[in-house]
Amino acid sequence: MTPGAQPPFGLKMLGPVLMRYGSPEQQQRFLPRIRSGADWWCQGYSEPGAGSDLAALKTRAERDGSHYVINGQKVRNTGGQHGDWIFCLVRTDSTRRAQQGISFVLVDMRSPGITVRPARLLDGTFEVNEIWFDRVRVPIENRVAAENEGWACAKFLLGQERTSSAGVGGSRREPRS
Amino acid sequence: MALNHVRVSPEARVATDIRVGLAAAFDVGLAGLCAEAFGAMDRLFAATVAYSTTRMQFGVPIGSFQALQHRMADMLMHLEQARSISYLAASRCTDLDSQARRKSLSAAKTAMGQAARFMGQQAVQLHGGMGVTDELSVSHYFQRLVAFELRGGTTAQHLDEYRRLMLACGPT
Repeated sequence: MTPGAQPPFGLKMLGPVLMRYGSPEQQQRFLPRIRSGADWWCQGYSEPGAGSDLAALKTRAERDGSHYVINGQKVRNTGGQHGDWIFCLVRTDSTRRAQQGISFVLVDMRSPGITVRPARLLDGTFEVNEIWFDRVRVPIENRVAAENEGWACAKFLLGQERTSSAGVGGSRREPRS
Repeated sequence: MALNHVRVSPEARVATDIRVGLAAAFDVGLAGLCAEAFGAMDRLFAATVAYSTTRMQFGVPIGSFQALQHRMADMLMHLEQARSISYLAASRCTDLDSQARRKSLSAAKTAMGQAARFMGQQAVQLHGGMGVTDELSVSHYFQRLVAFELRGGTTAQHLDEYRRLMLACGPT
């Protein structure tokens, strides 16, 4: 990864998730805009209490008619200050085992109730943010896969993220060329 | 500041050979740098242990994981060695034998440079995502230790100096 460049979350992380778990409507709506760069995506995973233990996330999404209402906080969000959209892990069921109550939703960063605050890093740069969700309304059709089945999407995405960060593709290409 | 025919008495002269004087001053400075670096490492270790007892993940303090305990044990070993060799630097930094003195100080700067790198990296790592933010003292001590390693000669330069002096005057 080029130092200083923003990782392409849409292309490398969300894109594969939509291809595997997205509905035909979601694929048609979002994939071309990911490929062209018209939508710049960022990631809403980590929380103050959910780092290594990501499944412990608490940002909740409550059903209200045709919408989810989201309340919570995400941290270490890379590039959120530039993001048009954010893919988020949210808790849709608190009564079950943690991994079984998580949903994967797509949120427009221009939605009312979203606050982005930059967080200064060790090297003095502002690459990451904290994001607060205060009664943010998200249409149900922005949920990827079924309700409470977002953990499978989350794990699949992490597999893409780690191999992408490690430069596996480029490393495997080099010996052949 | 401009000096124009300023008259100074002979008593104002600090050393007969400026190179000897500068070397002596530099070695005292190295001992000071080592002492400061030890202080930073000591704080990093305390902060790391404290964080490991308060940060909860998977329902338990992260310090209860044996893998992290091993890393903190390694940090403590580096810390204690740094403490000892910073004492060596302090006790030898005014020796009149410039070669023996410089050899002790280069040993200290080398060992402490290695310890500083290890302590800084482990402390950041064991603080998880918080370790790379500017919010905690960890990142500030880390930066200070990076500066320490680069100031007054790097670890590699002092290792080279130590080797040269070992060949010149043998072990002491």
